[in-house]
Amino acid sequence: MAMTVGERTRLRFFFGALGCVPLFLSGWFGWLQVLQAGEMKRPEGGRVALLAQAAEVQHERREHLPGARGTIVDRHGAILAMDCDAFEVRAEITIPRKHSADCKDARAYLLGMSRSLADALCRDNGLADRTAARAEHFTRIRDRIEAAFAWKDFPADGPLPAGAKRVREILVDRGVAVLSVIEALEELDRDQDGVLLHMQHDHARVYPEREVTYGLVGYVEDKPVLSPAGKLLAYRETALAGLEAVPELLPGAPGEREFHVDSKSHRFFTGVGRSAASPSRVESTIDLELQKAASRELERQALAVSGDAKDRPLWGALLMVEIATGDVLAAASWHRDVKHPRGAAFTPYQLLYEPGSIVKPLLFAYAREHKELDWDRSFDCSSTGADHHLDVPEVGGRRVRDDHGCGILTPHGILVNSSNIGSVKVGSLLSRDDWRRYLDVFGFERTLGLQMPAELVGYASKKGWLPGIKPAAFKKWTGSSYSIGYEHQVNALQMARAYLTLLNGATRELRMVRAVEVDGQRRERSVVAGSREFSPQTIEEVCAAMRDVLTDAQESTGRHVVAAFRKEGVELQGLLGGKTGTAKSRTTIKGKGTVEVRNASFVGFAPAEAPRYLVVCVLQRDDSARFYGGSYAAPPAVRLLLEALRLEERRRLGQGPQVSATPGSSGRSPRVAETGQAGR
Amino acid sequence: MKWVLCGLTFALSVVLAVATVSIRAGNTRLRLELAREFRSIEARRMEVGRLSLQTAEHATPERLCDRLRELLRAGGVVKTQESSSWQ
Repeated sequence: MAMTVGERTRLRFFFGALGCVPLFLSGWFGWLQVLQAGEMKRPEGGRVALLAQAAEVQHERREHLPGARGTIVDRHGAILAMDCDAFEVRAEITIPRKHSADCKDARAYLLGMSRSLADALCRDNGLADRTAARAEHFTRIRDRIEAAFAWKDFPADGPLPAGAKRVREILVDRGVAVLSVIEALEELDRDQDGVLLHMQHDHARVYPEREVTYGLVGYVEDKPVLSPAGKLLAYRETALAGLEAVPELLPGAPGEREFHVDSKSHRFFTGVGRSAASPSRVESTIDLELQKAASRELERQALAVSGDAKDRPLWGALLMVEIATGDVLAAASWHRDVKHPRGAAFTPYQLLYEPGSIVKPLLFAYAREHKELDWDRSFDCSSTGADHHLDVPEVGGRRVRDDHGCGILTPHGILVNSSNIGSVKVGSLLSRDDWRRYLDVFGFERTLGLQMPAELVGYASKKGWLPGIKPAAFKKWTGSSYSIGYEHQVNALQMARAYLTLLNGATRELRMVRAVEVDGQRRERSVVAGSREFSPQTIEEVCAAMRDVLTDAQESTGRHVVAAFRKEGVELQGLLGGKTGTAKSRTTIKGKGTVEVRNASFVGFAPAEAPRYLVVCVLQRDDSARFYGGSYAAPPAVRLLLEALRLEERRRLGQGPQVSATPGSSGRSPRVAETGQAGR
Repeated sequence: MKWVLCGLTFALSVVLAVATVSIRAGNTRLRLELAREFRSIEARRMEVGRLSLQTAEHATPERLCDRLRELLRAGGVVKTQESSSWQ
């Protein structure tokens, strides 16, 4: 079949044109690999190696999967704090060409984008006030977009200024975990031009029982990490209070996931990748039910002191410890003038007070054990005058006052009457060295060692320990003050530890973490016990006196609380033991200067014959009016002890906790669980 | 004849190229869908975790008791009998 000349020419032209393609490709390849020496400059300034590997990397991405912070549970496994999966949403916003010709148009486009993003974030059906939430989101996103695009530098009209960026990335929100919000954001990503959303894996810290565990469990915040030159390097999660400071809670190794992106930066699935390390688990000693009861009782008592808010106690602390192990079962904190617990001192270990008479059983046990105090010895505690005073000859004639006239008393009687005169006489048996050892044995100047941030460690007044002070002067002033719980400051947990030592007969430490599980391995925290200090006989004698404090006898300082509970049908006599304390002291209050305060305190234990639970309560009131430990600090402490016994019995029978029958006394506000992003 | 063979070879190569591209595009589309599906499962898993915590929080004895008190205070009628025969 012969072809015409025209046909031949057309075919030659066609195949000739086809032959140019490999020629062009060869030329291009030669230009890149030979003339450009295998590298190409990118618009951002960097150079990219022209290899197959580099081509792969161009569309490969790696997603960082941060490890979760550990979970904190109570002693029965109830969750107190945990990390929940959530997204950190970042938006890459591009001003489209059609809107970038005019500044007014560009600004309107960016405002519209802020509104769309805010609308998507409000697609949460659980939001109480959607309008307020939308306004808040809109303001925040608009401000971020404005800052990212330097929008303020745009002229009112006309084209965008030279050098103005058309593409910027902003943080939309953190801790996004609501499905409807995620779907709304994905819809926006799919349908709206000029925005590309990156959903990065993150965690939101959740505290299910927040209202009752704020200071105890604590919280974390991101703190900036700066270089020596002051440049911001990163943010590091830092625990500012409570159990969150346990080092094992730090997140484990992060995971990683690879994916590919298309020309429009949409992601391709390439597999599940490597997961982050599973979070550690911290088993605290807290009993959530007792913690609720402690918070409820402390608040109820503080509010009951006065109907007028300004006459209520300044602060209060109520805590419970298991005597056998030193486990802190509950620790509640209350403040009068604090609007939000974040930033407020956690009263059980971040506030100090002068303990007053609740140190007397400790002193008597020490004197009985180490100074051979005869438990049958009689002390003349007679006083004179309307203020029941006596210039005690044993301490150089220092004037000491009692609350009521006492007469001749044995050490047992002194404790039941809480006689200051008797206590000073017993305290006079101790030398300066004895007092030093007394402070050491009961740990009044020693840290709790619980690894809790911002602990305020108690201290004894330095004045009495100056080298120039003579023994007689020490005994007259410092020793006699120590005997009745003055001239030294303690926190409530230190007081609990001192009684733990007394009731166990050996120096003991408190425990707030029972065990830690890291990488599937559970490690128990051992119970810390020191040297033997008190014989069983001494412990029994002191406990007997404390049992008699809670009787209806005329001289016992706990008679009011016994009578009050009897009216409610509860007989405390023989059920509990305790000691009341009332101290008059001075403290500095911000905005008020130095003011006179009263510390009402109570320490108790249950059951009376074989103590298992120890409770300490302290309320401080900035008022000179009478404010007694037996009337104010004892009731919540006693209620908490009764609750512990009741709960123990219910658990033994396999029953759950019982909810208070009193309306409004559940100790919980009707808020939902706090979801803290912890600034991440 | 040789020109016809050349033309057919060229047509075959074009068809193969187009087929390869379309298969790859289909593959990409599936992978994109798979990625979207995976993300949506992740989002649902996240929601389940969040809701289970929220439910546990709302179902504590205290909150249930408070709700019951609210209902009683509001004058709600509490049925003491079974509401249907099958219960």
